[in-house]
Amino acid sequence: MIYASLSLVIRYWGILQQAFVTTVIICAVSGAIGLTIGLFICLIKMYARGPLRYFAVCYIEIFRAVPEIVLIFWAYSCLPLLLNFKASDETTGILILACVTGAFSAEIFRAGLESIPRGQYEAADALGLSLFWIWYSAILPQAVRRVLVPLVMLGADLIKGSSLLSAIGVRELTGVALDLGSTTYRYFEFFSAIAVAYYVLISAIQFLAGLASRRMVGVRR
Amino acid sequence: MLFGLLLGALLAAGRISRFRLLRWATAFYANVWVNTPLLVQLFWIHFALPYLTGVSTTASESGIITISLQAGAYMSGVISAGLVAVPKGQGEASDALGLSSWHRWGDIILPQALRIMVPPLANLVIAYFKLSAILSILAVPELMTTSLQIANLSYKPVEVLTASAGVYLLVAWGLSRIAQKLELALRNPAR
Repeated sequence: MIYASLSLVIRYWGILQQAFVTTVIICAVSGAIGLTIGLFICLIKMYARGPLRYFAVCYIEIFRAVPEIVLIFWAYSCLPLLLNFKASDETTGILILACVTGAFSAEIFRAGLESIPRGQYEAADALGLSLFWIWYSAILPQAVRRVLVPLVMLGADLIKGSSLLSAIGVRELTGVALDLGSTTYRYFEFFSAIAVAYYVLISAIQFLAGLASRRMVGVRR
Repeated sequence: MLFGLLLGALLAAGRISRFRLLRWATAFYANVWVNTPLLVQLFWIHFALPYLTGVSTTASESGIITISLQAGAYMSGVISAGLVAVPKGQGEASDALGLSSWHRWGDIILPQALRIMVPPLANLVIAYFKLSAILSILAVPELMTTSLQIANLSYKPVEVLTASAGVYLLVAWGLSRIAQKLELALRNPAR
């Protein structure tokens, strides 16, 4: 049975591999956009006053509280009606994943920046450093170290969240496994295979982040 | 969720146990459930398990099984971390006082560990409230499935889906407020 299962997976290896690449691309693109959004929203929430700040707070609360799958269905069926414009399924999905990642990462960035003691700003200021050097040499290196672990957890959530795009017909790992499963009636093989793929992908990222954070701790000593 | 809590407690006992093999096996189990998407697990339980065992489950049953198993894995992490976070000296001190192991766990260690565990457990409850929406993909009759059906029948997806997103927003936001209050109330005054 194991042999038959393996040969089935090997026969569709090309399709699965392509789907794996799609998943990685979706995660990379929406992660990059999401982190950018997160950085801006975080800065707005920390430094802006008035309506702009309320916008940032509402943005974070909404995208953190509403389930991703609800947002995905909402964007998929409502945005074309509201905007009179139909983006591709992939674009819609990446947009939503990026918005959610943005909301969560904004809070991570804020927590990281706020955890740096005030004395660090004051000390750098007292040393006569310019604003750029205060941030570049004193604040950011410490903040990055603190932000790394939660960001990696967010990345793992993003990878898991990308599986939800199969619901709107994006051909990433889960969507392809559903397709192959329903055409061959062999769900077991394909879902086991993609479960392994997700597991390896997420574990690999955690491993790399572990190496990176150990190196950074080493620099400090 | 309740089943998940029980499973989580059992697994946590395994994760901090004396036996390396047991520790390793439970950590691996939890890791597999934590590092794969819920949706994939859901499909696996729903479509692949019947193939292996010959017992098929309805969509709701698959949903409950999957959520319990995954919640158990997450909770085992929280619970074992909470138990480990209680300083070792507390257990040693209760031994020194000659307390029985029942009193040692029930009176000394658990009350302190629970205090540490409650905030992350509350966050897990919120997370699973949100994750339950994923069950709509298997058409388990919950809020999201129902609103998708209504949206399809009425041809008014904007109104219906926005309303259900609003419901999720309100409940999740309310829950997170309660979790914050809990966290403040439970903050250890000694720290």
